[in-house]
Amino acid sequence: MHHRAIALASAVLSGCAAQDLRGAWMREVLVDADRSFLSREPALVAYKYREMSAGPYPFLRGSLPWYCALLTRPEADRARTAFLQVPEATSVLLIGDPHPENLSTQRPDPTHDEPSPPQSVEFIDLDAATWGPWTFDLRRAALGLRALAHQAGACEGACGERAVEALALAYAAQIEGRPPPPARGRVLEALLAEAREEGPEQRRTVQRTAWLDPQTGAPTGPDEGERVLVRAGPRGEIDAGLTDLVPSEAALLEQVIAGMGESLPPDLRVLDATRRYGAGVSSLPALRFALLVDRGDPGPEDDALLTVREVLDPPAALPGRATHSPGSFADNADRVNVAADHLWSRADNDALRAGACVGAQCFKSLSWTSWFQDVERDDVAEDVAAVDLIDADFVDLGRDVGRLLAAEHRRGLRSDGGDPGAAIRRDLTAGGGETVLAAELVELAEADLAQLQADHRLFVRLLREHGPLLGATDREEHTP
Amino acid sequence: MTPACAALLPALLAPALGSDRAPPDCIAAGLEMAGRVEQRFPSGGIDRAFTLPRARTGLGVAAQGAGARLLLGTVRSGGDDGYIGVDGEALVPRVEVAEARFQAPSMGLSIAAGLVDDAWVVTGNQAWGYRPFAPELSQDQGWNDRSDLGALVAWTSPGAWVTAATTLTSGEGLARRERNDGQDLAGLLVVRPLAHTAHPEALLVTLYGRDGSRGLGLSRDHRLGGRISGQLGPALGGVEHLRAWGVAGDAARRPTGWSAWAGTRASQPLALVARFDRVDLDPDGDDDRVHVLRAGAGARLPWRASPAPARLMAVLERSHRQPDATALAGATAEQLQGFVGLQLDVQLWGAIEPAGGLSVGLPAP
Repeated sequence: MHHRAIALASAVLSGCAAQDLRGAWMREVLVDADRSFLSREPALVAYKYREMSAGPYPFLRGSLPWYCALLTRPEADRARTAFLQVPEATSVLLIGDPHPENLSTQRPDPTHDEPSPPQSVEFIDLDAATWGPWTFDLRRAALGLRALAHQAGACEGACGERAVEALALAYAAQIEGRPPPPARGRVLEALLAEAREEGPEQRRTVQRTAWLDPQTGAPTGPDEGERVLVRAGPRGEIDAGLTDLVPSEAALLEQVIAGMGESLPPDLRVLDATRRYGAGVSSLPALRFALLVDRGDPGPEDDALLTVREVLDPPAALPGRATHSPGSFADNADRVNVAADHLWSRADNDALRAGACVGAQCFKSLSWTSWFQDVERDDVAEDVAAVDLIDADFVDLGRDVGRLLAAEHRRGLRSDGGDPGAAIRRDLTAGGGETVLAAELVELAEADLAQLQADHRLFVRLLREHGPLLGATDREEHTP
Repeated sequence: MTPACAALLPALLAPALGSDRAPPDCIAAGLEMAGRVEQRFPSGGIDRAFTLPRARTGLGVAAQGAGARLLLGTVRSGGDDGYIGVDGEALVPRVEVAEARFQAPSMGLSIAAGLVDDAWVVTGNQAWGYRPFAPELSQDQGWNDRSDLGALVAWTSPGAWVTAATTLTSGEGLARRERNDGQDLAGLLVVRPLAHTAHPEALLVTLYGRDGSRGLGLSRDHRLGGRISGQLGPALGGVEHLRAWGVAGDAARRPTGWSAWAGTRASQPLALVARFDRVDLDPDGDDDRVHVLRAGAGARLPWRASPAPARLMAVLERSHRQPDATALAGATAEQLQGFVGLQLDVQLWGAIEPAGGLSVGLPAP
């Protein structure tokens, strides 16, 4: 008994020591990835870390650099992949972070020839797009799927495995050009239905704007007033949604809009602009603006919301490139724009998409209207609680994610200019085909989910022990 | 140019070695450049590339035992994947060494402070002799930085049998500011068993240890290494071993590495060199070793010059990773990587010495 107690204590102490080493490394990786934000607006980094602590899923969203560091860490017990035997398949254009909350509905502007353009749902956030091995996107998507279900309290265990298996099989079928899997599942159908319902009403624009008397500032109607964005709170309350711009931000935004020039509709006029806080997780500390724009028609019917957001570098340590494939786009705005041109089902899916750089600081614009609806974990959790979503719906979501991912990879690029779909197909065959892929992905996603949960707990502990910036205080980061 | 003046540039340790004469008052400046065209394998990316493996400029001044040294290297702003750089992703100069120093040759002492050499890296690159081709093992693997903020003290015994150097530095390297209250303490011991002969550099035994920490979490960053190297007549060679406890803030990593090389000295008319590195990424794993083979052959330019300021070399680098040593375990496409290339190196130093006037070229080998 005495020996067992000693052994137990020794194991506990050894485990604690290992956690301390891991915690120190996690702080190093995460803080290093946010260095530019820390030197600019450290409070926003603290805000980001607070968001990440809310659960494994937001932690996943904010910790891509950590995930990449873990994947490449040479450990004896890492699972080996059967794939990535074809060098060209390791340098295809990736989405970079295809977790379910990056799925969004899109819709091109109606035209005379196409009065009712088709709506789509796909991965539209391409901030992490870069060259890399095709399996990276799959593994990250499978982890995102499992984490979303876990956070919503659904589809654990065998169901989770079935969802990931469905993702892998749908991906393989789509990449090989076999008949497409069945129609969309309920999660994405609900998203499209929401867009169809709210889009024509411009619900988000109506909710986010108000008509004010230009003289008194009092609320009024469209006939007498001018339309402005509704501020949620005074400047400095960074939890608030929209706040006034400071002069330097206004000047920067003016340069950015001027730089976007020809990519935006020619008659577009900015009616109002604010700073936008609290959106996203990984990019939460990035500069983000909300704009109310008039698109050229006389009345207010064509007013629209637009977000303009800073685009930073893709993850530097994205692992697994066998070939020499450095970043080869002109700048970060060009990178996300070229990626959208190729990965989106239609390049005109968002008529207000544009990019511009002011020096090394690059920005992208995207529509922020009700036609564009994102998957949101809180909504998913509510639907699970209300039994509007059941386990089978997550299996369908897995199938949808696999299908969409493969479609985007096939449309994409390869760093040597070749056909990414052909390289992925060859690699899929060389690795043993879809059955091997499914088995491998199920195993990896299970391990990744367990790791994610443990790392989230560790992250929460680190915040508690070292403070809201993990010990990277403002002073330390500013002192040369 | 006297060797002592020329030695202002490459390292602090060298001028302190075994001379009981005061270093001359002089100003030395130098440029080292190397451009390379490479064909990389496996194919499937941007396979043909021009690279700049070496671009360094240095300035050293010495007067009455005091001196200062500034070395500027070159880095790609934005790195290999990033776009947030200077004027695009321009190549920009980076301070690699910026040190104040004082030498007291009668006592065999040198002290320096500022951004000072990593003694293991600098002596390793000198022993290997072909830095424009590749850095020595620890720098190549990212285990040691070229320099760090701190102080260095070196002592050479009478007769130059032994040189001992110790550094106290920030531990964050040349590219990162301090992040913790911990300092790195490193010691280097160079023993010259043949110091009393006509070939004192024919055999050097070097021992190295570092008690270090890195990053916010004071993650351990220790090193222990040994090297046997030598240069005799036209030949050079050596073998070294280094163990690390902690790398880049990951305290749990414990990689080890061996490096062995042999060839002709870079100053010879024909340059022939080969090096083999064996890196074990995790001592607990069986299939996580990286083997890197490098070979080069070339000729000095102009052929008859001795020492020659330039060298044209064909170079080959081939790395083989075992299944657990690839970035994504098991990815066979990553297992064999490398390049063949053609490289032009130029190393030119100039000095102004009160006694000798202006001289340009290389110090006598």
